[in-house]
Amino acid sequence: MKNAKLCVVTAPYWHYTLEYAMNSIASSGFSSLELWAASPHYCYADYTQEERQARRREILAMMERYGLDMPVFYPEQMNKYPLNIASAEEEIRQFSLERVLEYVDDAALFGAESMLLGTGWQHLDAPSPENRERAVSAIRTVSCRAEERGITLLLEPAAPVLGSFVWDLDSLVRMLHDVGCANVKACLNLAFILERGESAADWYSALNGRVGHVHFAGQGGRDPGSGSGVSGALRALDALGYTGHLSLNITFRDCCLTPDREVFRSGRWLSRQGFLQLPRPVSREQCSKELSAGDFRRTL
Amino acid sequence: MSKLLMDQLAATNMVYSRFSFQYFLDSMQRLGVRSIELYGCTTHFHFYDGGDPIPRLKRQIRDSGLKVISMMPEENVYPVNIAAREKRLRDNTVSLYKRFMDAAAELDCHQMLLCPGRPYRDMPYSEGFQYARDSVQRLAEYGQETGVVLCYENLRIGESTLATNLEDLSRMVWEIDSPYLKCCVDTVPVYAAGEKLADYLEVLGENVHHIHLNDGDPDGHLMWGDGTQDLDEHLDALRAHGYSRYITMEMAAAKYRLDPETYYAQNIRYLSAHFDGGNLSNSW
Repeated sequence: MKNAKLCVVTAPYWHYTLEYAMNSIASSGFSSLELWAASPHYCYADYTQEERQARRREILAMMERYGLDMPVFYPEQMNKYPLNIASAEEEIRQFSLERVLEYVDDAALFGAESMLLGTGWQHLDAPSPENRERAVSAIRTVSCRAEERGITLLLEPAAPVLGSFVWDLDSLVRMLHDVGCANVKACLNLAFILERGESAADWYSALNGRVGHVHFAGQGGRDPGSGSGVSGALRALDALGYTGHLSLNITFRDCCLTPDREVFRSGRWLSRQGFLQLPRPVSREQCSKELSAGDFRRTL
Repeated sequence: MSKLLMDQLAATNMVYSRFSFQYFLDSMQRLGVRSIELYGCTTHFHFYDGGDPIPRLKRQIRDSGLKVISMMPEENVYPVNIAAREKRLRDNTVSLYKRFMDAAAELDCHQMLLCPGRPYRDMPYSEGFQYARDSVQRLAEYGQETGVVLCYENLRIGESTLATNLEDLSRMVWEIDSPYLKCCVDTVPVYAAGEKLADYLEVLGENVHHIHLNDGDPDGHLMWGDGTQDLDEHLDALRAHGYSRYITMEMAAAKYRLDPETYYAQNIRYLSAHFDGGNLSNSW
């Protein structure tokens, strides 16, 4: 993937400090992160407005220290958190929409190009077209703010058990069509696609130029070297002309125990596959000095 | 040996979290369940949803004929953490949990689950323990004001570093030494740690105030029969120690969440063959 722009989602590090996460990601050879904005790393519920601004500055300073940028911003909304921009309850919907609009502003302030957006969800015992209409309307509202900020919104299918309005390729295509906003695109989840026995190439073709991002991992959300055809899927996307970002998205149960090791192994696998250029080994002279992760990368 | 009766069993709405709360209440009636451990989550019962959710909840519980025997706010996934290094997050969490304790008292429910929190794994354990201890102390004092006993629960190492074994779970209870701080023992972390429920009952005695009885392989919060644990070993330990309080069926795996009632029914049937009679619909 000659034009691959690889990022690492910070989610598996949520039991570690964000600085540890950045150190690990940079040391593993990556230069970009996708911030999973959830407590305690960065969350709407954790700060006053002043504290939020201070935390943003702190994160940007950390990124500079470790030589990282943030092309994609991934605020936790509906998978684990109680935000729902399509809720039938007005107070929940309004609160959720306000938080998501703030996150769009955050994405721009972090220098991100795109942001993951949850479609909202409905109760499994009470699906209705009206619920979906609220989701479409809310996504359009968010897309207006995103357009002002120069942010592309990304919709990613979620497991049916979550009640999301996008759970497979058909529902994703329909939602993008019904929303009808140029700055709302799809995020492919390669682990999700491959586990369903489907083809990344088929998804990409069906979405017809509307793929804005890719999440990838190996079988069961493990490192991509653990199997499941990730290498083939990545090469297929490259052959189809995908030139956007791709984020390593480690999600298996208990990945929080050793996230550094998982990301390190993933970096090594990506390097062997020709997707990632790792820093050159440092000289003995350089080792005699104290090196930061940013220093490692500057040996390129 | 004492007996274990079906009357002691409670169900919880955790696995119904993407269904409406009314659906859950109706499902409990269809299953013949009387006692519930109320999982505090969005759209069912949570202060994050705005307004005052307590009046509606009291009405729904009253109309359903169910009894809330334990309060269990979501503590491991939402932006809450009693062991957070960040003071504001810790304080916000304690404030929120106090509201849940108030709600429990209003429902005539006198216990609330308390999970240990998630200290940073790249910071010293001792530091995280101190943060958690401070939060637990504040909440135990509030327990005295509200009459709500906190049940400090063991977790797996993948969930928290603070209380993954008998020694660590016991430490908090001994150090706080309050009649309003007891333990909830969950069989999944016990099994995952390679320990025995009998040891927890032996060491903690009357401090075991609640049980979460779940299968696992070794983890997963599964319904009985789906995992590899020895149910009779757990139940015999409870009998031998005369355990006479509530036991919650806390099955929570994703595979049950599209049709939770079917799986709860299977779990109840499985357990009824191992318990000593009694009736799920009785109040305990």
